[in-house]
Amino acid sequence: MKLRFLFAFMLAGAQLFALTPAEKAIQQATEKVSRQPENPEYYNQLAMAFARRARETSDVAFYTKAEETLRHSFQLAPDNFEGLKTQAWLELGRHEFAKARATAQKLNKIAPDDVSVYGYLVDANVELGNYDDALHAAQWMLDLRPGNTAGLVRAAYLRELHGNLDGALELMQMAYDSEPLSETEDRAWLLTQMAHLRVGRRTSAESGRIRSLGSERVSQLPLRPRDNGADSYRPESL
Amino acid sequence: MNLFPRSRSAAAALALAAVTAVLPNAQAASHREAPITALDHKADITDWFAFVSPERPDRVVMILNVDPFLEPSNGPNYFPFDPNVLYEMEVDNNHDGKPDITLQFRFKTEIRNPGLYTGFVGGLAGIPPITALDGTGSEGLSLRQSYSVTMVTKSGSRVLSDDQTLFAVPSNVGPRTMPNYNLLRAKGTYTLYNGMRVFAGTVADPFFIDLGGVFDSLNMRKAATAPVLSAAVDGDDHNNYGPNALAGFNVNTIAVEMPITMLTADGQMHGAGDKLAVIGTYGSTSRRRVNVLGERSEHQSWAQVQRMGNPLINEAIIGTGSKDRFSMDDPWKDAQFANFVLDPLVPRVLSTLGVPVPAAPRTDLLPLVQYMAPICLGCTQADAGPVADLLRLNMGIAPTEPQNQKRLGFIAGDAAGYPNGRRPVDDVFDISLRALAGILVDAKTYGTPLGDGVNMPSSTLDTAFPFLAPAYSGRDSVHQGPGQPGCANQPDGICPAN
Repeated sequence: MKLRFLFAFMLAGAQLFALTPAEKAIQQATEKVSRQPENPEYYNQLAMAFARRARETSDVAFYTKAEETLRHSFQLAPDNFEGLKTQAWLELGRHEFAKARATAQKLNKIAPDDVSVYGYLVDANVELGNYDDALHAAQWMLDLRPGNTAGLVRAAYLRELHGNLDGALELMQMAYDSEPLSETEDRAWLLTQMAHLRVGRRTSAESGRIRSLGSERVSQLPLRPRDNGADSYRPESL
Repeated sequence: MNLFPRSRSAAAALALAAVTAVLPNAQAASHREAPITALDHKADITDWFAFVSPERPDRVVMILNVDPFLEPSNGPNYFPFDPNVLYEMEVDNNHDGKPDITLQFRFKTEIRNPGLYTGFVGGLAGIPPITALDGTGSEGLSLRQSYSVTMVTKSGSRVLSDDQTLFAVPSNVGPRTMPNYNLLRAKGTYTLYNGMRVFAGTVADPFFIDLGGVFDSLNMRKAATAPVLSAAVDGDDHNNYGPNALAGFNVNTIAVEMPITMLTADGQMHGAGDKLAVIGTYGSTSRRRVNVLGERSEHQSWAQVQRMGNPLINEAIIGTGSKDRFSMDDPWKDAQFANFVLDPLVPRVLSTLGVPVPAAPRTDLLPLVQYMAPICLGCTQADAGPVADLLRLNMGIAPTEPQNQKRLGFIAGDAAGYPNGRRPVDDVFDISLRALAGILVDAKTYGTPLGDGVNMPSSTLDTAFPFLAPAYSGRDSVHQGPGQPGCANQPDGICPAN
């Protein structure tokens, strides 16, 4: 009996340990929602957690869950700030870039100090081809919170679009160095992006193909030495 | 359906939503300052002054104070300026809200005696007392700062200090180390190009306010008759009736005095009725920035950390979710914050206390942020310029002799005081509170004598350049609190606690 209990305990512990960051976030937010179902903030957290899980699993069902959860939040507090932020983020994920930009502009007017909103403005404007607006918003991210990861990654992407791969790598390295060790998925994602930048720097002819891979999730990437000159690339570093 | 974004940008958005989700709440409130600046003390501007010099009425004095609440005994390094901060004074003289003249200050630190355990030693172990900033008598000045002054105008940039080394005056460590601090400090005033004078160093903070009462949700000292002052308290510019939270604290200052003819658009002096007599000024601090596309120009390589024109605008008017953006943006773009000025929160708070206030929109507050009467007497509607938080100064209005200056400045008939420029003696808390209550609309209806009962600085201001009191001594100075000495006209000189 005792042993079985210990075994069950260990199994539960191992399962908890095995949770991904998004799964943990879902678990925590679900608990909060069930404890305080009238608190819109907890629905916002749960919606964001579902959206993270969508990225982890490629399962669109999580986007639908995120949207449903967000509706609860808006029922409790129409147009609440954090809820609108999640909405902008989901709109970006659905490629509704004009909508996302409008939501982000609305948010930026309410609270010009919120750095993540500038990030949404960068993303939407890049996709809509408004590069000057994207640059402007990215610069505000770096000015308002020097060294913030979200700002550095956007700036790196804009540098890459301008053909400055070394400069992009420099910023990505800064972002990676400041990312907490516990954010394993973010760190993996940053390393993957850096790897693509290194490959792209070596063979710009290949970079288009590599870029198209960059959108796939980390576990699906072909992390092996290639025969195109990128053979010094070490997948072990991930 | 393609679940994955087609570009890395959107991928970045997805990845970083997670990152930003774990960032601390960006809306966390800090009343004293913009949230980010509160974390960056060296770049934190405490006060900005601009006034026509009562000592030399053909000149203007501008003073930038940074780095709040310096406890005078806080060795061994005391309070150097930050060599990574660009300190600037900016002047708009053609009413477009953009700087036409900029003075830049850059500091360098040297450690002259790396073996010493503290920055400053004198009268001990064979080291003579510190009586000079350089040469004989400066041996104990181990941590020493020098600085440069550069003037930037449309015609280019010019180093004003290239023929001499300017040293910043250290804080007053105490009487053994610095037996004649006032004499030592006097050596830190330098004459530059065209008779300009400059001073940089640590001084006694000239600001005065009952911070504890004000920020405990306007829980003022009833014994000081605050927040509605009795005639006796309101009429006494030379005593404090509540504890001055700044008493006994130092601050770092950069002060310049320059001819009015260096500041006007046409290089001439003008009478009070001429719009060319009016300038708009502000101070700012900047740090090196990471530029999105890499370095392009000198201007692009600096990010403004903070700015100050009118006192208390960012603290008392701008919403907490906008304070950082306000600090870092340029004044001429302030139309984006105009609603905070036209419909400020403070009057609504005052009305809950029973103080009569006018209804929004508060166009009576616009002279603080546009060129118009009563500061710019010669301005027409076309000269108002953009909404911009600039400290506006009519240089054609003669300065008031120090003994005749009134703490309530302009609203007490002392036209050389705030909001026509700002002098260290001006009680900007009381003035601003009354302006927000509507005294500029109608002094009879909205002229409630609001205030905190703290009516003057606790240090004795110089009546000559740099117009601030020497730094408090690290060994011998004390602060003032509720229930402690510092209020001469109260029973036993004790500042009221309730």
